[in-house]
Amino acid sequence: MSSSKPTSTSQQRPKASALPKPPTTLDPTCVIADSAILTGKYPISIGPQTVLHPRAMIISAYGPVTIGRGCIISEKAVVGIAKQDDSGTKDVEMTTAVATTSTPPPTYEIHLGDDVVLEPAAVVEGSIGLGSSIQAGARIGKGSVVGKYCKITPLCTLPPGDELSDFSIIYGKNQRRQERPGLERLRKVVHDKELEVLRTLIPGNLAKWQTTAASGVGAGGAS
Amino acid sequence: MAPKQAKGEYIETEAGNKVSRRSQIHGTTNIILGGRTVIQAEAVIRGDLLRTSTSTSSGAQQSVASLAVQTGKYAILSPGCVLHPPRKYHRGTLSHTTQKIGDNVYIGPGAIIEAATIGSNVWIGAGAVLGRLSFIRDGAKVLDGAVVPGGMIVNSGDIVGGRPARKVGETGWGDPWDGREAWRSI
Amino acid sequence: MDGEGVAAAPWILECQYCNWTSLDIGITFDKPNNIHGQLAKILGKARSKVSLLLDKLSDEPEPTEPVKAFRADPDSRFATLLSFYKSELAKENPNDNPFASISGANTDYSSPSSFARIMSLYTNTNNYGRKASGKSTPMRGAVDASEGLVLVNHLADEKAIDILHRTGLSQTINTEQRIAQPHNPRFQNEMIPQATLLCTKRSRRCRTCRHILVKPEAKINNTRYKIKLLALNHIPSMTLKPLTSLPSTLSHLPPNKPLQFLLTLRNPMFEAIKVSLGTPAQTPGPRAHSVTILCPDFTLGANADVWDEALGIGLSNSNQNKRGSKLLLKDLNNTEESKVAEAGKVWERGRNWTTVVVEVVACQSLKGPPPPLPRGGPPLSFGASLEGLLEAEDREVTEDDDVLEIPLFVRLEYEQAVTEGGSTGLAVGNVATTTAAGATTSATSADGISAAGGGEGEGGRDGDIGKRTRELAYWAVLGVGRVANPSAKMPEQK
Repeated sequence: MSSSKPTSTSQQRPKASALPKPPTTLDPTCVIADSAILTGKYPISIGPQTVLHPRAMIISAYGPVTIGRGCIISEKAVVGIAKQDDSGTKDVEMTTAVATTSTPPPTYEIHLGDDVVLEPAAVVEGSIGLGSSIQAGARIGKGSVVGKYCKITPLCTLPPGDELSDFSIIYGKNQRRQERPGLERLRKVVHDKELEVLRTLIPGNLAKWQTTAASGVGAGGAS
Repeated sequence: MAPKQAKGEYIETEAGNKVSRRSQIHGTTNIILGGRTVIQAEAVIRGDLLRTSTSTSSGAQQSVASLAVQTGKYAILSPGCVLHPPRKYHRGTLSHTTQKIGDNVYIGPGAIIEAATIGSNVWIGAGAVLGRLSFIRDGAKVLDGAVVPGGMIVNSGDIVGGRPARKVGETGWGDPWDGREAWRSI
Repeated sequence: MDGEGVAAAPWILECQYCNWTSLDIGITFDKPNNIHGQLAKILGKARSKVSLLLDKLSDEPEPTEPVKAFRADPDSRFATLLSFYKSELAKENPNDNPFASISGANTDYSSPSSFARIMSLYTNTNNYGRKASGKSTPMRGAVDASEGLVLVNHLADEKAIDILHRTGLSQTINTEQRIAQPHNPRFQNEMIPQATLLCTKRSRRCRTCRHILVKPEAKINNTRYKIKLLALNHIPSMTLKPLTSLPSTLSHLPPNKPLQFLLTLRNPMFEAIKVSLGTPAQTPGPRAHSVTILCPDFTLGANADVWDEALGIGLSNSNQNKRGSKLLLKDLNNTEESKVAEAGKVWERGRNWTTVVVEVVACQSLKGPPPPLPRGGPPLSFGASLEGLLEAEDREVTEDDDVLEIPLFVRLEYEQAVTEGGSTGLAVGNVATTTAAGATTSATSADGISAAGGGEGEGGRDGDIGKRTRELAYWAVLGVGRVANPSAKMPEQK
């Protein structure tokens, strides 16, 4: 079978069906894999030609998430804040937590610019500028802002609330930064090719997540 | 695939491959497991990222059924690791090349592998990241949390670690890590 | 360091990790291959543009222009220095200085002519030898750049500081980067891409008898070895496995709870071995975990063939075992559930392997001196000296403090048939490595307590069979895992 259906039974995420479905605005040209997960209570908006790999996760529990054009979000990458405390542990049980707090937690809007690439297991809790690349396992802290055409190499972290200027690169152990102007045009050519290829390889399932404004969809996972 | 016992964690195939029910494998037809491999829970194998031939072949745009990931014998994929065939941009076309993994390879938990080739008797530590199109030759060892940048060639018998991964030692001539023991004990 | 091209020339080098490109230093290439050659040509051109002589005349070198910075190339400077000194040596008169080397070559002090000369120095008491010397001129040093001398240019430093003011610290390079560059640059735009060194395959010989120990295959791609004689292959291999718990918890061993592990020794030799294990009751190191081996003395069967086993040869029966421990030949069909770890009993044995149970109680508290041991004698006396070393230390918490490692003293006794060539070339084992399922490994060499029984005993049987009892003893370290720290969080697994 060439579909992206995994052979394992869906026991690994028993809470998947229990997660709230967010109101979404999905461009018809974007590709969302079947096992991608969109959850949260704030709206999620995804731009044209964006590709969400299987097991990509977008959480809008603490603020709306806007994803630009041509983004690639790889498997196990997480966009959005999962837990509203400073410990940084990931916990998907946040709905009840939100309901019981007396003061409403501040909303963190997360905005991914165009052509942003998130590699597998990247965790993004802040905003990313246009053309940036967050590589495998990197973590962008809550409320931080990454500039345009940046590159965060694997396993590096950006502390919450930090700002990264355009064209900078975080590499090495514990974030050294290096400014570089660039070859953006060339990289964009490669990026567009990749978008093309991924669209043919990953069968999308927009209907599963598509909502019109303020109306929830029923039971998901139709296919 | 006949399960050995009823509803065990692992599904065991005829070739002796033990695949966890909680693993996330896509594109199973494009994956070859070399026999007696172990794929543990939450491991992700992207068999759906294939080489695409952009040249049209008799009008059919269906990707040529090629191999996405190939493993050798006694490969152990720990929980949470990710096998992601590397993208290759060559002469104006971008495609995914086959990811080849050798025999007796241990891939630690949470490792993200986008390497093109991993040789035999390789030990990859937890949380390591092997960049795009990197080559890990036989007998090498990648330490926990190492980041091997794209295109890097880890020479045979080298121990590499750090970010970016640099050679920090050499594995000796002793027997490498025994995959067969691990396969038996799981 | 990959190459990436835009359809065709010009080509640049781009790092896939930090996005450095050769455009940073202003270099592009004409073709995608032979980078090293093209780079050398480009840099060579830069160097020949301003020759070393002009160095003297010009005001100060311009570090900002990367092209000119490559001039200060250690290779060419070394070459000129070398040729200068060689010419100086050639000028020397051997009569002035009998120790001078002739023609700049390595003096062979043992050659007959130089030997005679030197001896004549000491034996000549008359003035014959001294007359010829006259006034000897010492060898002069290099004077200017053409002879390889490059003076420290103070103005260059000022220039560098000036650039530093203008561009800021971000443009400088750190120590690690500077060491990797041969020409010792200061700024980021002076760095040159370095070619990675190629690897070599080496063969090893024994230090004393020059016998080849390791010889790799001649073919490049083949990583195997033609000859591989390892001491490890002559001592029992050890593996450690937890008795019940899953391997995933080996990095978070629960403290203050008795944990049981199965230690399996596998015998590669063709003789049965009597094994005696010992370990200090409390592990040395920042944390004192208590370790008990439930059955420290047992035998290992010989690594005989399957046929031999069927015929009953090679298996060590309880008849041969004269030691005080109570060993029973376990039924090989025993399932594990019915077994309970008992002190003094082997857990399981097979044709050439035996498994015993090791019980560990991980201790969580660290820091401060380890608990004082009774000086009179802990159960195994060799542990005391190790503790003494560490008692006075007051160490800070380091990263690997929670690693649980068990030092193990292994003593082997076996009988070996005496061949014509003598012993089978076994070195007295000092190094051993052990592996544990999913845990860390480490090797240690014998400390002050060296191989106690390393010598050969001539005792044994009579001259008929010609067997010789050999004893081997060494320290090993079993790496188990890490002790869980309840204040630290469990790592998440996605």
